[in-house]
Amino acid sequence: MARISSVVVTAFAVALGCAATLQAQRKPSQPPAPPPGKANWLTDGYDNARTSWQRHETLISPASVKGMKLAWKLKLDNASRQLHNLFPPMIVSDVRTASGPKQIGVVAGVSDNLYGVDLETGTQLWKKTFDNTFTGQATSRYYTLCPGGLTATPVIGPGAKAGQFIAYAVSWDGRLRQVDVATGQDAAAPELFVPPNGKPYGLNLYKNVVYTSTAQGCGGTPNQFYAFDLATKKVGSFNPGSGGMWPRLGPTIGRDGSVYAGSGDGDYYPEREVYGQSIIGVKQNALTKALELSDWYTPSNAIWLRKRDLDMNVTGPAFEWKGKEYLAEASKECRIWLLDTSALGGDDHRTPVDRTPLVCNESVHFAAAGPWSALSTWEDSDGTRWVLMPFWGPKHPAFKAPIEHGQTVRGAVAAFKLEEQGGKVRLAPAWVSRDINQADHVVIANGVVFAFGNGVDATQSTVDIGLTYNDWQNRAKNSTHAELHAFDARTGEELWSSGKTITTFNHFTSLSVANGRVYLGAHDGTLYAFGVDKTAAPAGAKPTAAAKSGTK
Amino acid sequence: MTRFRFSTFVVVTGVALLPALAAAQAREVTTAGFDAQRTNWVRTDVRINRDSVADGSFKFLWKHTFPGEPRQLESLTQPVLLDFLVGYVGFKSLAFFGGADDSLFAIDTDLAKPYWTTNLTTMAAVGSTPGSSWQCPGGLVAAPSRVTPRAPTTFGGGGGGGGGRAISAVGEPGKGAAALSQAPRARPTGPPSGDVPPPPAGPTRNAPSVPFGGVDPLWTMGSDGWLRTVRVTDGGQAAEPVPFLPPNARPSSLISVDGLVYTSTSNGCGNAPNGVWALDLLSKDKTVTTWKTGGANVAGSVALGTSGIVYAATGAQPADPRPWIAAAGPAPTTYANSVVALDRVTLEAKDWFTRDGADFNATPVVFRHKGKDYVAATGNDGKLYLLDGASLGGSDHKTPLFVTEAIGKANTGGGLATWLDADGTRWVLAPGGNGIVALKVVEKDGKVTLDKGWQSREIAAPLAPVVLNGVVFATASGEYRGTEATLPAAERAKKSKPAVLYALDATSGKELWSSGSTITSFARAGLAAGGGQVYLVTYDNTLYAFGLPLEH
Repeated sequence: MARISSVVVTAFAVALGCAATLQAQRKPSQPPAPPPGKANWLTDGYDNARTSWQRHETLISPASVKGMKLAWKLKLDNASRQLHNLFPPMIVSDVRTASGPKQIGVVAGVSDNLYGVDLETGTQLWKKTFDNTFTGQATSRYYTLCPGGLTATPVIGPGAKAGQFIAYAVSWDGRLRQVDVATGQDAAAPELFVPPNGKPYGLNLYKNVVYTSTAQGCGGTPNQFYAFDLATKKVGSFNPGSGGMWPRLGPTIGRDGSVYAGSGDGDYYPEREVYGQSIIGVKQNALTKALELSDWYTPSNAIWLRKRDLDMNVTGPAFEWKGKEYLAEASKECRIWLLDTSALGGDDHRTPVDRTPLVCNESVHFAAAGPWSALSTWEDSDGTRWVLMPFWGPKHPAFKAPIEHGQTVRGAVAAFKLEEQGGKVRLAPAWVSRDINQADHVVIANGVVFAFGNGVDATQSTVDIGLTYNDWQNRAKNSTHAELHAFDARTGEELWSSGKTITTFNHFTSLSVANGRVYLGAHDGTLYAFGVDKTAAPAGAKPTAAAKSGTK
Repeated sequence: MTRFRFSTFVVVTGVALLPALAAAQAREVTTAGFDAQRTNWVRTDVRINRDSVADGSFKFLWKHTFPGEPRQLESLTQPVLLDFLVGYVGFKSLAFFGGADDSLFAIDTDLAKPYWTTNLTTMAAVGSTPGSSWQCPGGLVAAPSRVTPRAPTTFGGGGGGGGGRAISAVGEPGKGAAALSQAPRARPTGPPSGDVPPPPAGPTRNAPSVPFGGVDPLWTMGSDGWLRTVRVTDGGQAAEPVPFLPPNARPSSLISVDGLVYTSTSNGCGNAPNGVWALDLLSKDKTVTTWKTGGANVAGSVALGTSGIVYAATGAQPADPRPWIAAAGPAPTTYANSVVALDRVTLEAKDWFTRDGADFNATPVVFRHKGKDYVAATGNDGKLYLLDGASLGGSDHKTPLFVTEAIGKANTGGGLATWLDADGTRWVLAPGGNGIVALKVVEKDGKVTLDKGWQSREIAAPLAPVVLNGVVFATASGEYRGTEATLPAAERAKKSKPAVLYALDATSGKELWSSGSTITSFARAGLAAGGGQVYLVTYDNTLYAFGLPLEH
C-alpha cells in the first residue's frame, strides 16, 4: 500500500482547516484544530466574523508572554502613502513551496505591493507589484483619508491543489487579484471588481465570494458593499443611500452569510430607503448575485451622531452566545451596541439588545477620541463571552469598571463580559487597561490580549488653521512610535510591552497572531515580529522540535 | 500691516458629505437678519416645520446667563450662528454674540455650554463721552458678522436631505460592479436652476472665501470703534484690529460681504456723524469710507441688493441742531425720510426715494421677484413702502411702487421679513395692527403691489419676525417703547415686561405655539434660528434656545 507522506497529509489537513477556518472558527465549540504551531490567520480579524481571536494558539500564554521578545524585523520596500504603509500579514502555515512547507505571511503594502514573507526567518520570499490600469494616478488628489493605492487587507483562501493557497487582493485600479501565496505569481487573471482609486476595506471570503465595502467617496466612487462571486464572476453591490462604509478590518459575515458594516456619516430616512448612520446587513441573492438589504439597526441618537461626526467607523464582530448570534458594534461616540443578528434593531430597527454607557469621548470629538479600528471578542473556557473595545483619548469620567489599571489619558482597552440578568442580556464592564497611546486593534490568543498604541498624531483640525492641518506631513512630524502591549485577558493586567522597540508610528493597520508570534507593521515599512520562546513546551502540549528563530 | 487670511481648501470627510454640508453653511445666520438682504428667512432647517411646532415637539430647550451687566438698555447682541464647525475639539454648532461690556461670547448650542469668551481690549481712548444714555450706551452693541454671501445662489426655498436611495445592483459577468459602468460623480457645472442673482455691481472684488473646514473669521467691534477679526474656533485674534468708527459710536449690526464690512451709525453717539460706514478689507490701508445722512438716523442696519448695492433707510431730520453737523462744515445734502441706494465700495449715493414724514424706522428688506430686486421699508407713519430696487422713487425720487395704508403704529416697528412659499407666493411681513401683518406681492395691471394676507394675534412691541419652513417666529419684545427721550434706561427697563415668543403658521398667521411665561426679561435684539433651534437674547444677559429636543 502506498504510503502518503506526512507532509501531504498535514498540508491537506491544513487546507481543509483553511477552508473551514473562515466559517467554522466562529463556533468555538467545534473548531477544526490544526496541529500545534500550525495555526493560520487568513483574514483581517482572523475569521469571517472578525472576532480577532486566534483559536489555535498554543505557545503564547499569560505566563510565556512575559518573556516575549522581538523575533525579527524586516524592512519592506513599500513606499508609504498619506500615513499608510503596511497591512498586517495574513498567516498561512504549511504552504507547499518548491523548498518545502513554509509558514508564509502575505503582507500588503499601500503602494500596490504584495509581499510573501517567511515568518520563521523573517525573510522576504517574493514581491508582487500590481500593474495599474488606472490612468488618473498622476492627476488625482490624495489626502490622509483617500490615500490611493491598495487599501484593503487581502484575504487568503484555499487553492485548487493541496497545500496551495490564494491571496485575494484589490489593487489600486479596483481589480481583484489572485496571487499564489507560495510564489507570488498570479493564480488567475485580474478581474474587474470595484471602481478604481477608491477605498475598499479589508476583504472577506465566504462561500467562494469575496466581500468588501468602500467609504470616503474616494476617487468619486460610491460608498457601498461589493461582492465578487468567484464562480460566476458577477459583482453584486448594495448602496445604503447615504453614508460611508468604513469598518476598518472590513465587513463582518455572520453565520447565515449576512454581511455587516456601518453606514457612518449618513442620513436616515427609511421611508425614502435611505439608511445612513446605521449598521447594515446585506446578503447575496443566490440567483442574481446582487446584494440585498436584509436588516439594519439605527441608533436612536443617529441625528446627533451625524451632527457631531460620531459615525460608525469600526468593524464589529459577530459571535454566538448561549445559542444566539450577536453583533457588537460601535462608533466614535464610544459606546458598544449589542445587536441580535436575527433582528438587528428589533421591530423598529432602533432597539439594541444592550447599549453601554459612554466609555470615552466626553468631549464629543470626531478625530482624536473613540474607537478607531475594531471590537474584538473571545470566549473563555468557562463559557464567559468577552467583548473588547480599544479607544483613543481619555476614559469618560462616568464610566467605571471593577478593575481599572490607572488613569486613562491617551487611550486604553475596555473589556466587557456578557451577562444575563432578569432575562436581559447586557454587556457588563470588566476591566480597563493601563493608558495606551491611542489604543488600536486588539487580538486575543490563549488568554492574552494584545493591543497596540499606534502613536500617530490623530489631530485633524487645529484652532488656527482648521482642517488645513490634516496633511500627512504635519501629522507624521507630530507622531511618535507604536507600541505593542500584552494583557491578561481576564484582568487586564499588563504582562509585557514592546517599549520603544518599534521606532515609528503606524496608521490604518492591525495585528495578526499565530504560532507564538504577533506581527505589526510600521509607517516606515518595517514589519515587526514579536514572539515567545518556541523551544519552551506550551501548556498541555507535547514537546516539539525547537524552531529556528533569528533577529534581523 | 494687518493681514487678512483665510485657510486653504481641504476636504476632510467624504465627498458625499461635502455638498450637503457646504450648502448648509450657505444657509446659516451669518449676520443679523440672516442674510445680506436681511430677509430673516432661514432657508432650510431640516427639523423645525409647521408639523413639528404644532404637534408639541417644539419646546423650550435651555437658557444660559452670561456674565456682565447691561449698558443702559443693551445687553447681548443678536446671535449669529455657525451650525457646522469642524473644530479642533470636535464638530460644533455655535452661536456668537456680543456683550455690552465689550465681551464676545461663543456657546455650543447643542450642549448649552459656553465655548469661549473674548474680552475686547481697548485700542483707542474711548474719549470723554462714554455711553451715558440709552440712546448712546457705548459698549459692544453691534451684532457680529461672519462672511456673508452677497446673494443666495438661487432664490428658491432650500431643499432638505439628499436625493439618494438604497440601491441593490449586479454587474455583468466579468464586467465588475455595476458602478463601473456609471460615470464618476462630478461636481455640478453650469448655472443653478431658478432665479440667479445678477453679477456684482462695480469692479470685481476677489475676496477670499472661507473654504470647507477652514477657520471662519468673525468680525466684531466694541467701544473703541476698532474692527476686530477673531477666529470662530477660539475667539483668538485672526488679524490685527483696524480703526473703523470713532469710539463710543452707536453702530448697527455688522455685515461682511465681498471683503467689505458695513455698519451704520445713529443718534450722533461719540460725535460720529449718522450714516453708513464701509471698511475695505481688501485695500492696503483698510480704507474706511463714510456716507453721511446729513443728520437723520439710519434706521436699523443696511441691507444689500443682490448686486451688492447698499440700501439704507433714514428717519426724520432731527429738529435740534447737532454739533456734528456744524463740525462737518457746510451743510451736506440731507437724506432724511429716505431709502437710499449707495455704491457698495464708494458709498456714493446713486439713487433714493424720499417721502416727507415717512420717518423710516427699521432695516429695509430686499427680495427678488421675477428677476428684479425690490425693497420694502416701514416708517413711523405706519406705512410700508414697496420700492423698485433699480429705481427707488422713480424719476422724481418720490414715487414708490406701492405704499400701504397705515398698518402699524409709530415707534412700534421692529423689523421686516420676507419669504417665498412653496407655490411661489412672495410674502412680506411687517409690524402692524398691534402684531404682525403679512402681505403678498402680487401684480395688478402690470404693476407690482402688495395685497393683505393675514393679521396675527396681538404681539406688542414686536421684534423682526423670522420665517423658517412655513413657520413665522414672532416676538413680543416686552420692551417699553415710549418716546420720552429723557426717561432713563433703568426706568424704561422697569416699565418693560418679559418677552414672549410665538410661532405662527406662515400662510395663515394662526398661532401654533407660544413660550408663555418661560422668558423672564424683555428683549431688544432680534431672533436667530437654524439647526433645529430658535434663539433669543434678553436684557438680563440670557440666551434662550427653543427647538426640537435632540437625543445626544
